[in-house]
Amino acid sequence: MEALEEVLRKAQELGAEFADVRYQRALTLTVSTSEVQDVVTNYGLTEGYALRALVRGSWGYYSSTSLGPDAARLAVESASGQGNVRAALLSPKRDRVTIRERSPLSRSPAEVMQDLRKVKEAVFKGDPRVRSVTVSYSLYQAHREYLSTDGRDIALDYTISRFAVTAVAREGDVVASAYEGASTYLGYPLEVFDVNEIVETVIRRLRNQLRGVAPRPGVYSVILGPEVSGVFAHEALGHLAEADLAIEGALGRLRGQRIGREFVNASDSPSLDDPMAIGLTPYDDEGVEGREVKIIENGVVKEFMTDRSYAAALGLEPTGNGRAEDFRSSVLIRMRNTYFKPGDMTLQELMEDIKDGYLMLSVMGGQTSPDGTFQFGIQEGYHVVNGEEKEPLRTTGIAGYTIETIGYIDGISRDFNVRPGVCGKSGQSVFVSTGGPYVRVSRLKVG
Amino acid sequence: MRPEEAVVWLRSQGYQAEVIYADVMTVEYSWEKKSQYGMTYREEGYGLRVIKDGRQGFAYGHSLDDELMRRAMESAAAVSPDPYVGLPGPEPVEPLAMSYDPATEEPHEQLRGFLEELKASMPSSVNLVSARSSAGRAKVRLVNSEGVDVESINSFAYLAASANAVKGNYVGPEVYEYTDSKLMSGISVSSLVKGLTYRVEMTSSRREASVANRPIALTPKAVSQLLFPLLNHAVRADSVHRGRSPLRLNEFVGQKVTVIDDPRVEGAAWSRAFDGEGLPTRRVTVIDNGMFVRPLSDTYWSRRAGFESTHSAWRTFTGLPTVSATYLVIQAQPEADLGDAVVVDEVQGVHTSNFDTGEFAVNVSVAWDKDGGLREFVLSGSLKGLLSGIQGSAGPATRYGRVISGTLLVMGLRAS
Repeated sequence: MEALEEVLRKAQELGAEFADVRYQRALTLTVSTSEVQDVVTNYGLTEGYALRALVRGSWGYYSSTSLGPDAARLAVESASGQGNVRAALLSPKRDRVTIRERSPLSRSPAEVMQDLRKVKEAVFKGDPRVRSVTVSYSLYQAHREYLSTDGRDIALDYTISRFAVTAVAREGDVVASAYEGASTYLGYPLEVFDVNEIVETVIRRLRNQLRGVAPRPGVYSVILGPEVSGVFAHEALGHLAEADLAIEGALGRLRGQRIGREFVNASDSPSLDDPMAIGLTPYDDEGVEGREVKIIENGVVKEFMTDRSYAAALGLEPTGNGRAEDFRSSVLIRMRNTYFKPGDMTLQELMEDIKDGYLMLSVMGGQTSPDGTFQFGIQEGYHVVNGEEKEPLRTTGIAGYTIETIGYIDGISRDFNVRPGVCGKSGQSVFVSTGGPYVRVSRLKVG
Repeated sequence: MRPEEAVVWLRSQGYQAEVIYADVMTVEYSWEKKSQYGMTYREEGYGLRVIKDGRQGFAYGHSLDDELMRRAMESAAAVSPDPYVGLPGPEPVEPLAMSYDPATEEPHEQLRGFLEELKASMPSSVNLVSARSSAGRAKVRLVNSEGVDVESINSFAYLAASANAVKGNYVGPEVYEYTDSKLMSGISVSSLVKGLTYRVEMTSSRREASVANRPIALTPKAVSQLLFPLLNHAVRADSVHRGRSPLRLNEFVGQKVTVIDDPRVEGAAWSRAFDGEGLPTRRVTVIDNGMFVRPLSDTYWSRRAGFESTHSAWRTFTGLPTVSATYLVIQAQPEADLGDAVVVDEVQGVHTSNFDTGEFAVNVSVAWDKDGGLREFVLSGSLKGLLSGIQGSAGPATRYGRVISGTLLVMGLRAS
């Protein structure tokens, strides 16, 4: 810690108005097994520092595996911009946070591999048409320290582990492919979660894909299952509410305006009481305590996520959304755990009003643009006719314009589920989670 | 410990061993209206692969020390024996021309200059949202116990910007453009500004139009975003061998297309003299006049599947080699007129595709036709359908991302 204090002092001597330094150490392990081979894809440790100096209204970074004698000078000399950047300053605080696992992660790669092989065999036994299976496990064990010239002194220890199954089945010329996985901060995922349920889900999706039909492209009434509504909250809405994108994008000019009915509420929070809420961020990578950001409250656009820079620029408080993938990366405004809040209907009530529509239950990811367009791939969905679930769909997509789509939400169930994910932005990836109930949208493009 | 010392010691313990060493330096400048930064980044690292009795292990770290070797050996103990794992022997490597520009060692002034020139030359009709310039170099050395010992120094430079049209309550789609090179002189700010301006102006108003049943024209950028990832997965030897490719070897996929992987494109940022196992790179014809003739492979997959090794291993120091194309050159017969085609320039959500089946349903966020900009729509189909639907290629072949292609005229995709 003395070395970190010293480099901050040097940066200030060289002209920094504000400086902070991150030390980040990460141990990673990825193990997988398939019908072809067992592989330990990566296993190792990286550690490094990101020193950041605010000099004459511009940020300068120096990032490396060690803080040499030139680190402060290189950070200060790297500062470049038009001189209009400021940093929101905070009151001094020292804190140490350790997120403890419930299920130990002390297994060796060989012990993990044994467990994965059993899962692989279970998938093959699940359906004779299964041709290819990959079962993988990954571990990310992080230690992060943060020190700033405004007196923030934060350390954080946590581990995210992940377990995933992908499989391919074939019947004649019809090929099906399915995925299911689970991630958690609570320890060994094969103990935290019900592995049999994950295997059954993969098999069900394969069978659905083998007999599924492509939907007729068009605009329909669609029920988004909790996994899909969560990804909608993240991809379609959440990104638009990141202040750096909001000021140029579709949502920025709608602050304070109604875009949905009064029962539509969406937030981004530093934590959720769910094993899969891996966007857990008690402090962000700028030493800011996380708080709930109410993006939509009672149908009205309320607030945006900020980091120290955008908070200062927009005259807001930082919300704890300044995150960096690792020491190599700059701080960006990122989501944590993003979700629609539950309503008061049941799934059955939502289904009853649909004459010809779809129930979408599982996504393969999604993407959005600052102008408000979004797209999701769907790996599990069903045709709904006269309120009843009918045939499954093959791989399909849904797309639309976020603001319009939120206006078309006409019912929300009282369920709530959380799913883990990894969010990419500007070349950086961070752990996030998404959550939601069943959400019915009266008009949505299905293709 | 030096790489050759580690290899010798591991060999004395009965292991085949391979060390990849990387020393990377990057300088980056980023501009947004409310936030700007410069960054200098340096990192050195080692990846160690060991093989004994058919068991392969891997570990990485910042130091080539006892702990790294312990982890590599521990990971080897975790896997079942596999008779196909092994390290290749040496082959002569031809260096790449124009692969290193000393100006990338101290690129600060030029990179700042790129951003200043870009901002100054942007027309007032274009709302510049963000811009980023970066440059640097990567030294790589790869040594193995079978005699491979190769090294290279490659530089790179990069400029990117995003912009849109904002008029009253209208917010146009955010258009992204970028250019890269191994040389600082390969970055043309004016070309990037021209491309960005054209696209922002084309989408400065957008209309709902019937796009169903119309031909689709994929610009080189759209080819890079949509076709490259799907095709890169489909032509990998591991995908083909495991039945996880929508294409079958020696299958006819479309009469008018040839696809070549070219890792040696002069001046292109990702070009490389040797692959991730230290073997010389070369041009490989993957699809020849519509016939899928050759999967891309590395040493393991060529042995395992019985395919010719195309020296297509791809990696960083933090992982084992995987198989990947470098630059896919897409050739189709010349097409002079795009006719009534909908020009698709940017798509979203390709990562949501089913890569094993080749099925995709993506959102087209930037598109126009001869009457102007179009609202977003969903484009869906399959890789096979896309390849077989290629009617021809218009305009000059352009390098964008990791493809070299003209604008592809495609029939038969679903648009809604």
